[in-house]
Amino acid sequence: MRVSTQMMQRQAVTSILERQSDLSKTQQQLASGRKILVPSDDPSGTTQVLAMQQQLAQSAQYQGNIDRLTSRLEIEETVLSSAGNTLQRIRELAVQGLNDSNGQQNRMAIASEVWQRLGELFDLANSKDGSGEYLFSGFQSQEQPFVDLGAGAYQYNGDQGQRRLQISPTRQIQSSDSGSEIFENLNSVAAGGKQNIFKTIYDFATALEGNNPAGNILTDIDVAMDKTFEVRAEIGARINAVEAQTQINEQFDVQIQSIMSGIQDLDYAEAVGRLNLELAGLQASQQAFQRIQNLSLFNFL
Amino acid sequence: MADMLGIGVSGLMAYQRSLQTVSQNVANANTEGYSRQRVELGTQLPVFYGGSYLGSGVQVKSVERVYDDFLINQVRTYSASASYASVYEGNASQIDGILADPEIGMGPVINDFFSELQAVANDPAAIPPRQSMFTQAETLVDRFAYINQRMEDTRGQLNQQMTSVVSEINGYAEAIAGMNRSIVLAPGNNPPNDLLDQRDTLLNNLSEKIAISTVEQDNGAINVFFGKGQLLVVNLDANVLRVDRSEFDVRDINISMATGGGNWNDISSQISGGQLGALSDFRTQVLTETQNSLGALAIGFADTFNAQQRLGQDLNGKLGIDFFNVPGLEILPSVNNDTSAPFNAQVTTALTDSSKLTGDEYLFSYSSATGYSITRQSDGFSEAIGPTLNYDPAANIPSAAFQDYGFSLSLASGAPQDGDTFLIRPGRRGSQDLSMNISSPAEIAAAAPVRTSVNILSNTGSGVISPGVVTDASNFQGSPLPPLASDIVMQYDGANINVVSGPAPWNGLSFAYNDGAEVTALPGLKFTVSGVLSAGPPPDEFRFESNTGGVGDNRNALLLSDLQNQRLMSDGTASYTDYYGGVVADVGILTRQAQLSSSAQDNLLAQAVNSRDALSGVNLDEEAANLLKFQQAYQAASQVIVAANSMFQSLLSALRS
Repeated sequence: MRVSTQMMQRQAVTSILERQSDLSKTQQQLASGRKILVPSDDPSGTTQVLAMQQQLAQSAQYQGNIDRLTSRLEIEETVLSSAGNTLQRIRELAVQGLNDSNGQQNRMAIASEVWQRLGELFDLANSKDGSGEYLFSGFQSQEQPFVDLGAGAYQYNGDQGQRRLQISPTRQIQSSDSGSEIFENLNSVAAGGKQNIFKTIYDFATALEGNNPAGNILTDIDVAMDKTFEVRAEIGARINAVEAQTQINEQFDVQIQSIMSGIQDLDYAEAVGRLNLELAGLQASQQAFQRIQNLSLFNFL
Repeated sequence: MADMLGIGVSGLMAYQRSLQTVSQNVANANTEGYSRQRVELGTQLPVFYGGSYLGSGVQVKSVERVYDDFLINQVRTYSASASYASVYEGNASQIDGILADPEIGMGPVINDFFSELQAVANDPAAIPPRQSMFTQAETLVDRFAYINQRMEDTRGQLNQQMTSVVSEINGYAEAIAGMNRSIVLAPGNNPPNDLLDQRDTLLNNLSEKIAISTVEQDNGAINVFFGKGQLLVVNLDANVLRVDRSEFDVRDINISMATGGGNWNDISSQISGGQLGALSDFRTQVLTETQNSLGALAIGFADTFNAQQRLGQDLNGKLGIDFFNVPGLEILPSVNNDTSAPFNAQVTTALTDSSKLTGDEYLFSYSSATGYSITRQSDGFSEAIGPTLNYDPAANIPSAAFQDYGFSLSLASGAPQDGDTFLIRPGRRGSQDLSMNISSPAEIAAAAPVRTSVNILSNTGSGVISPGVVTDASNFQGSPLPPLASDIVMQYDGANINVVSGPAPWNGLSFAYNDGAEVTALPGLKFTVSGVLSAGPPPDEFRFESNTGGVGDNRNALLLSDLQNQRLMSDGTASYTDYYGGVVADVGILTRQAQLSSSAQDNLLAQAVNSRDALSGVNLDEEAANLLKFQQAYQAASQVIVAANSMFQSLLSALRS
């Protein structure tokens, strides 16, 4: 084939430009560590990456929710454990007070500690979490759940709402329990129906001061203690579920990240190899150009 | 001897021309579009002398350019497709880059928005997470507007590019017509090689702007066509193209051509190939489609988010109000519509189902013969609505057989005239017009307006009621009244649960108790009751009450954040992110195709140019050899003259002696 001078020049320059363009892309990939620089590099990969980025962001958020949930549940657990201890102490005092060997004076002394413990229990029922919200008032988290109306009347001002936190796309876990359920939903032998624990203890302490305590207080306190155990067991179960979910989320993260990395991250070994190859190609085209340009019959005329 | 002298001189003359042509070739070795020239030599008519023919020298028959029509046409065709592909690719890459850039694209902003929403769900009573979410919502709104602005900028640049390409086309057409004139009028019988080369170069330049075809006339002029046989250059005259504002939108331009008598004909749809074709295709396939689709996302997102927000209760205890202002759907009347009284038809459009919106545009027109019709622009699918405008998907538009595009149309005022048209672009303004409706973080409706309760102190059964979901807030009382005027009190009678007291419409309703089954018998509420119930007395009692003071409730926030996972776009097949991913992928695929075709077309063009150059290009080595050859021949011819001279001299001296 006949070759024109301009064509030789153009072909040499074009091939140099092409090498440079390839080189620049590889350089960009190496600098960013990404195989996909723009969606057109891999449109379907980009769509997958977008979807996976959303999953990762959600998963990170779920992990944040889990941390928050765990801390809230742990606070509640601690409070209920203290409430259980307080009830236990009141039960001991009740056993002591019921003993008929006690005189009026002794019973007065015991009653005074029961009053103390009742106050303690009442405060625990009105506990707040780290952000200043009441633990046991349901949805009305800024409303003090239990109010002492005097003369043994205690009123629950909260509701039966339970806040739930999202720990996976499909799973929500309760982060609170209603005070009404823990301290109010209790069968009392003394009252012959349901009655809140504060009133029950109040009545007992008053009877103790009057030197006339009734024995069924022990059953009533046992019911209340059982309730705290029951709720604590439930909290424990929730914490376990959340821990299991943490592992699932972590595994999910690792999987998604490895898939995502496969799609969008650069294989450095391959890229460096490619870079060398392209460099060699560029040098070769440049040298070829220089050699060919030197050739001309006019040099010999 | 005289003959020898004559023959020698003819050789001198011929080789002088040849050497001149070699010099011309060398000088133009790098001139674009130059075809190498060659002197065609031939013998002069012989002389019949003494019974035989004696040669009488050499003559220059013509100076020819070495070229091939087919090769030149090939270069022209591939120039058009290569410049089409490269311009399309260049523009599409811009949009491609904007959409998926982690710093600019919508993906991360949507994710962040929902993350902040989860933080509100974690801590619904606290202001800081609400503030963060509020700010993130503003960022989301800004990002939609920003990307839209980038596309509007691109549209502005595109209009400028198209305008300047059109004026270049006019320039080339005028120059080609001028060349035709020079070539037709050129004197002599030999081809005006350099003019022809120049015209080929102009045609080549023109074909980079727009795909053309040519027909050579007998007189040597070339007629140039584009599109489907539109004449750009006829014989010695050029037709003029003009840039016009679109009849619907002054921001869009059309291209029209003079048809004589001061009339202009819109030829936008005829344009194909070259830079102008690329700009035009990029505008419809990438820019408009992406802008509309993104706007549809903004509308769908705002609409669905609002719907859930309205089912909630904010931090101030009020029923949730719209979170975003849902952008309106754009409908533009043609400037050609009859706006004189009493006609002046004004058609309005309203959103009916945001999940049905797409990036499509629709042409809505009225004809006095057949009434209204609507045509989808992407594929030309057309439906006749009939003489009355009752186009509403909610009420079967006008029958169920029709496509549901997610909007309704109604005649607001006036009366349509034959030929009135409107352009409906549902998504076009979406990204630009999206804005916040709530003005403070407290207005984020994280709580549900009602809550459930069990009558703990009197119930003897183990029944529990689920927290309840609000599916329709229209039965609630408006703020500042509590949502429910009084509690909805439900009692179990041994088989059914009856609403024994409460506001309308719930009071007196009754449903069979089915342990754990979802109850939808109460309008706008969804819940379950489970466990063993007791009919009493007293009967087990459950309630719905106003969620007064329920600042710690996050039920609606959870439902809001769940929107991220729901398929609310593309007719219920895609989540927000899926939909956005689809938009990104569409642009990515088009850009990818353009890149592949660009490099393929470049190669084809390079091959075509090489083939042309192989024939017509100048090779300096060849010219050097020719230079030597002709120089030698010239010297030899000179020697013939010298010989003739010395022969003459010897004859003279013979006579003298």
